[in-house]
Amino acid sequence: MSFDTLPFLVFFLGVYAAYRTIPSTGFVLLAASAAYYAFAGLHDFLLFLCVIIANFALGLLMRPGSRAVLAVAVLFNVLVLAWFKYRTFLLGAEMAQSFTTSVAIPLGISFYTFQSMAYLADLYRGEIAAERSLLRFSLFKSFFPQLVAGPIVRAHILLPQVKRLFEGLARSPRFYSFGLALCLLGVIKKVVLSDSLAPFADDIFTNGPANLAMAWLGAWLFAFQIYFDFSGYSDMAVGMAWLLGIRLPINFATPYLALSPREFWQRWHITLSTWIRDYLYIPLGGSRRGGAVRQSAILVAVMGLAGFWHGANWTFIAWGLLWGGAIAAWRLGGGAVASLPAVVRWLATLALVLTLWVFFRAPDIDFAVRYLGVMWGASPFGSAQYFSDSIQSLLIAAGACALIAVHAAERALASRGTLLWLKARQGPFLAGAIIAIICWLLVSPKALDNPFIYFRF
Amino acid sequence: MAMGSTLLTIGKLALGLAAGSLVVEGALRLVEATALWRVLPVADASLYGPDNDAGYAHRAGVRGIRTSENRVVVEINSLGLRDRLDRTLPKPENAVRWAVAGDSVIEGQQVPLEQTFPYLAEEALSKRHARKVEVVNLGLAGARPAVLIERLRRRVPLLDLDGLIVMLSVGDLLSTVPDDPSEFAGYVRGPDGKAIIAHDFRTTRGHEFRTGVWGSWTYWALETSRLALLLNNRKNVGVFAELAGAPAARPAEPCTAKRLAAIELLFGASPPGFSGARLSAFLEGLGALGRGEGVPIILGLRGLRSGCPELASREEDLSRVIREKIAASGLVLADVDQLELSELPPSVPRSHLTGFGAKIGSGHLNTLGHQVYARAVERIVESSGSLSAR
Repeated sequence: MSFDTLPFLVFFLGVYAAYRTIPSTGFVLLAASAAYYAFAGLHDFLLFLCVIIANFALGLLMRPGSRAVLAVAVLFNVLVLAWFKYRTFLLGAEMAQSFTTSVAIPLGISFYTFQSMAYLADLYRGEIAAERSLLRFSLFKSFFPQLVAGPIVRAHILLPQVKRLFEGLARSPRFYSFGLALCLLGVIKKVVLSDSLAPFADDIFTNGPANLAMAWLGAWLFAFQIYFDFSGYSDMAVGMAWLLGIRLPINFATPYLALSPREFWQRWHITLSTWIRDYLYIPLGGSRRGGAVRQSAILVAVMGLAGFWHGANWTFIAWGLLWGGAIAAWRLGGGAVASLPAVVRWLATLALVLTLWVFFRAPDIDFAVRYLGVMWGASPFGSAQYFSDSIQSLLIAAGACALIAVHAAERALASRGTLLWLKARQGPFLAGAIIAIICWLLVSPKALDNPFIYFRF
Repeated sequence: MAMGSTLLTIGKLALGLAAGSLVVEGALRLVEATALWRVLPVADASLYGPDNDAGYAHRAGVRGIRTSENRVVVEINSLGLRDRLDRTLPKPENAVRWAVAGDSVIEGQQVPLEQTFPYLAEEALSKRHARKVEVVNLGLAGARPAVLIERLRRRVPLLDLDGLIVMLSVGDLLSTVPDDPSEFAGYVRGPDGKAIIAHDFRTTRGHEFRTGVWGSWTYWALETSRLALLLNNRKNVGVFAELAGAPAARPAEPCTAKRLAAIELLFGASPPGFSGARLSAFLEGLGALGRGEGVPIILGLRGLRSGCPELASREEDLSRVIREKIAASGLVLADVDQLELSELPPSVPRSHLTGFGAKIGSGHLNTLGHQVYARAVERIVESSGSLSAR
């Protein structure tokens, strides 16, 4: 059930009503999360149940410094991910089909396996204590706002909050208008912005760009499609969790305003970036002193894995590897790059982001390379063409600029001033207005084949 | 005190809901009034209303944006047709008037009116010939055979036509079970076993509602409020439509003779189930209309050609059989697929005639498709002899 649908709205209203009226809030949310995930299908649900139970048991067995248990734990989760998400890629379609007829990726598997490995690694490091209640652990794993597409929440953030829920200590937030506002922002980003850009980006990436301008336009539109889609979902997740008394971490911080590749990854899918930093990059020696070549190699390898996490396709691997290379190269550029004016660094970073998004969106490496060729001056190969006359071209250019303006406005919105404004006007009138807008946006039927992009991971 | 406070809270909440609704209404209107309607969400126009003969028809004078497959402003003229706004019932002096009737393919609401094939054909024929040539668009989305006949029985006598092209997919004739006439006109089995057109919809609550005072108010709301349109859009797809998920993409049909065999049976000596009775009634109905009004009728059938080389010869034979069969009713066959292929620009695959954006190859005729169909209609009209008559 996608967040931007009427059935989900009805589901959430029911959950919220139960949360506000039934004292056992922990059980209410656990039941709701189980029901939400069960909707994905019996096989997905059973797999998820097995993963929860296995990781819970491994957590109980884990002792700080116990390498054997950690190895088993990591192996288990990696094998689950490898089998259910990557077997077709790793074994080839025919071989994979000989084991099972279904190759559908279980909903949210990339997220919940990463969350499990983080939990077990934190136990190994002695940073947290093992959760001894299967119910609390299950809710930590399955809390529905963050279950299928993140944020990837660490145990030390979520488990204490879950514990308070089961102990009846959690309360609905007084500042509920913040949660509502986040939900509204998320719905607007997804329904109004991302879904509107999708057909155009799809057209250009399906039929190919007819010229250089179309190639850049396609990359630009996709960049904003995926941003509004994913950040919109994250806003909804954080907003809903807020209303249910749970604080989730923010996952995006206006990434297209970044001034360097490294800064981009500090603003894009923040919980994944920090996961990669804490559980791959640093353990592999990325933060230690060492030669630039060694550091760069680790960075490239780690980012390649991050790319592979996104999908079983060489395009995602290439996307990740190239990001690693870009961050390493920028770092090596050092002082020379830092001395450039901010606007130059911003434009260079943006150009890099757009270029690399092509790999993410393209169906295969060949298409990606040909597309990039058009972006950077090679002969076009496609038929998608929107610049038919000067007025149309002007409107398109204005629209494209408006997207980055909206993005910059988000930064202004995410301010103390906005919070104070919401707090000052909090009340049934504001709540009613926000709820009405959300409802109307979700009533509007849209293309049923436009799910959240990150739900596919 | 507590009651008062609760009422106050409820009152404020209700006001907030109303305010939020007004914001959305305003935003939708703003989007429609600017170039943003091409990109941002809009409320899909409601174009149809009740009709006592067919069950439903266009509502005259309605205008709005349709977003299915492509984004187009659609306007229904004063005659209740998705046709030129300046079309009049009396035929202009010395003009030749043809009409093309059929379903959504002819209605063409996926492209602007000026790109629909009846419009294009009219423009081209009028340019090429000394006299004014009109090609009226009688297309209506979802018009199955019974709806088509009822619509034509009402419209044709009023239009003073010199020729009529009735286009439909042969698939509309293949069903072996009677139609369900509870929503619009449909063929059912009569007392003598033949197919007759039933109008059960006339006695349904839905039809009574739509033709009554409440119906008038509803249509007024749909023409006035974008929020009413949103509710209507949602009602049309289903309140919890998302639960059903997106329809699975239909895989391309391999070159099997299954469908061809079904069509051969339909036009053979013993058609299966009810399909034969329906076909006979439909052909007789068209034939009677043509004779009664003195209008030559061309029956344009789509779906006779699969594009599979190994079936071509059988399809050619089938085309001959169909031609002979419908000639008995006084109709002339136009093999639309064949016309399509003959008018297709070189090196353009047939699949490029339908679909938009990333969905080329599926859906309704796109701009190129309408251009190809326009040339086909021009050929039909020019070869009919009606342009040189008088």
